Amino acid sequence: MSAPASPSLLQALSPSDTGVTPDRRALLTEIDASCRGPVLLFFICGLAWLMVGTVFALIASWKMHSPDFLANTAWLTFGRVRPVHLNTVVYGFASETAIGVALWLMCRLCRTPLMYSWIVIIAAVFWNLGVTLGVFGILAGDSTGIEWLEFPAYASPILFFSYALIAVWAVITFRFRRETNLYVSQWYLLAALFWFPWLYSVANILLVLDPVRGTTQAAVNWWFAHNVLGLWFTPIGLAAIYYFIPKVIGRPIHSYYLSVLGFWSLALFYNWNGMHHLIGGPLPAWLITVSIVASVMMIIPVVTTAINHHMTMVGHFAKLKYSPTLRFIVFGAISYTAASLQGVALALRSVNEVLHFTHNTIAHAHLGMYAFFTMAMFGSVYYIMPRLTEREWPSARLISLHFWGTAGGIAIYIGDLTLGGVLQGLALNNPDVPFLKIVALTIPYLQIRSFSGFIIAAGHIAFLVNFIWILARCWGPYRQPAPIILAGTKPETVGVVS
Amino acid sequence: MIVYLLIVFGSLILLTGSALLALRWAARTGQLRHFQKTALSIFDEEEPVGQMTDAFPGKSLTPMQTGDEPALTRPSATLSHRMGEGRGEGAPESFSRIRKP
Repeated sequence: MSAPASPSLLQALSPSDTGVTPDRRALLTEIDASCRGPVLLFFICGLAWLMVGTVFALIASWKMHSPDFLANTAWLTFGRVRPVHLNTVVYGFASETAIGVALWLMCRLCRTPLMYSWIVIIAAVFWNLGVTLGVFGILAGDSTGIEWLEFPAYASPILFFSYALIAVWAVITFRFRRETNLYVSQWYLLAALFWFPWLYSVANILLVLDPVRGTTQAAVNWWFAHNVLGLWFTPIGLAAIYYFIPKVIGRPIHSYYLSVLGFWSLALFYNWNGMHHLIGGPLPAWLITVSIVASVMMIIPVVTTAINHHMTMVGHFAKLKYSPTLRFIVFGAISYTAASLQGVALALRSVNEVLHFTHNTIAHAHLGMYAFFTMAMFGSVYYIMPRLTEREWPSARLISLHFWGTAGGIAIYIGDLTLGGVLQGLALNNPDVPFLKIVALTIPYLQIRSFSGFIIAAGHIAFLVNFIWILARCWGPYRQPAPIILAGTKPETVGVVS
Repeated sequence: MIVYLLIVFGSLILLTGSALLALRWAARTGQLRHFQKTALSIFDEEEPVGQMTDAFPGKSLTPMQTGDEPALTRPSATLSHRMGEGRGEGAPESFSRIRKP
């Protein structure tokens, strides 16, 4: 590696000239090697949290139709298990995997090796410390009770400190980029890295550290909760999709103009969306109306992005049979369109008054957070891991099981709760239907939800086994030298996996 | 309450304002020009246009099967390319044959 690693950390952050001239674009091998430690650390920890989150999801789901299950242990009551599930998957799995993918993508797109990797490793250690403390805090009964921000006050500052280190690293990497033109994925990544600390710090200060009173709590809460999806996870998910679809199929994005339009319209409209969660609530009507208008305006970035992804894939759909990355990424891209358009519909007052406070909302959240974002992250990991470890994935069958388990499971989950939620909402609005009858009406849908959860869990276990297996090929008694992995590949073999 | 609403509303405006500032920077530095060049910036001699770069492990495709010209060469094409050139071993013999039938 050449010059850019030489300046001190302070020099690297200083706006003044460091005297370092980007002389050449780094080789992809250099970049992958430099990312290996930190990105693997984030992926490993993220996967561990995914498994923890899956267990708590199953417990919480089971309790919904069998409330006596594990009800005698205070630590495992629904009010604690459910937020543990949410926070482990959001801050443990999703955020850590997102950071890992963002680090790797940033280095690749800036064409510079990962510099000051120790910053990132410290950040990873502190991030996991914060999540662990937060999870035990919730289980011990210290939850703040604020949705998406349940971690107690002693955990969230650690996460913020860790995130600040990531932001410092991102600034340095961006400063030393050797690619002058910013690819659209870089825009999304930079925006996410800038927006998240803003959202997280403002929300924590106003809700956890020095709580505001009254309905403003709800306003801040939903401003944060909605934006953490749209301004943190969505940009990273879209950055991955915009990178991996063209990269895997070997064809540039259909219209770069549309991709830029999609990014800037998301940047301008999304952060106004959160208040539509409070339709009917005691907030100024104009504030909610502004939010509804902005929600409808989101049709622009969603449709431009959907058209762009679809047109890029036209003529290449056959490749879905051959590439694990493409399968997950395209599934995520389609789900992004579906989740966003559903979100636009849910923001309308007439729809919201039926579907709000029903299981339909849960289906919508999982469509966005799992079917879109998580699947996009799975696809990214499938692409990145062989490059970091210099080993192929050990089992195509496990990849297939992972895909069909998660895709099938989440499809059942969303279809089931969407339908159940509509029926629940219609019944709730009918004053002639007793409430207990509505509760009984939802039970079959909740049971199917648990069933779909087990299918998803099976997919996660397949992923875990494959992940441990590929790591075992790098280290430990099952270690294999890298070149052997690729031996024996024959061009005549058709790599179709069901 | 009004103060807090102003904080929330102020954040909405500031977030939008920051996006507008970034847009201004993008326009001034020429990021909104040369779209075709930017779209191609993720490809290079290591992973060129027309080369599929991902496949199930242990599998590979011929150009005819992907319908491309040229098309997928092998799983993790970059990986094999790297191993073949960087380490002097490990590149499957199929690699060159597929690229140059």
